[in-house]
Amino acid sequence: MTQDVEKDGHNFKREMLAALPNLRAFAISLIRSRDRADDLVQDTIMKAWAKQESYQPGTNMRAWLVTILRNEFYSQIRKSGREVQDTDGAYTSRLSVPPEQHGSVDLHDFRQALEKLPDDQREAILLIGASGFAYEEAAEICGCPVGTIKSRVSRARMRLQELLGIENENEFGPDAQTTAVTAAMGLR
Amino acid sequence: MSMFQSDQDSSDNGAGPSVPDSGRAVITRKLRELYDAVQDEGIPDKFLDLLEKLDEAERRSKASGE
Repeated sequence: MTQDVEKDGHNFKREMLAALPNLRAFAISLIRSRDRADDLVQDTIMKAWAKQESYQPGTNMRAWLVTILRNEFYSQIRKSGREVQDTDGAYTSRLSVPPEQHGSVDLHDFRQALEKLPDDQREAILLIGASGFAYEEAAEICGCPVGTIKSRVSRARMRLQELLGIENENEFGPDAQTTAVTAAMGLR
Repeated sequence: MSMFQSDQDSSDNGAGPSVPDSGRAVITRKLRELYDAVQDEGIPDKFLDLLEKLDEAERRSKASGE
């Protein structure tokens, strides 16, 4: 019996370790301050550990942890009664990003665009587009209907495209420019 | 071994008609780069230490409770 408990405990820890890098990526992408994000991950680890009895082994550990982290995040916002802002830009400046190929969106620019989204939209597009959750899972994590997640993701994508200046069918580069010029000329 | 489902994006065509696919692809790629940059850092030691301590504390309390 004791053996089983001990084994479960080890599996729990192992599953949690496996889920941590992705959880932390979510936190750091959601929150502008890396320090705050790591604090939140730490709180999540402790909360999750304390309530590990409520975790069903073999179910989705990542979804379970993200749910805890998210609840913690919003409850901290409610408690402090303020929006979480990174006024000094610490978040954006912390990660230095090597310059990318000409014609592609710089990761730094992308991060800044992401920050301009409302929390609920940023959260939705991260869960779907980066964490790799299904819409149904994301809906469960956020405690809202699937349709709400879909519309948040859709609005987030449109807003990001706007902010990054991504035009229609073509990605950047000469083709997109040519198309834009041609289109502009056609209007005259 | 990717955490991502590569077909995630194509499965959500019902989400909204107005975002063209390639713009969507750019965004998806960037989101993943963002995650990769963090995930490549690995798990910070403080989290490993924390888990170790939690595990240790639990084992001790179990041992003393028996």
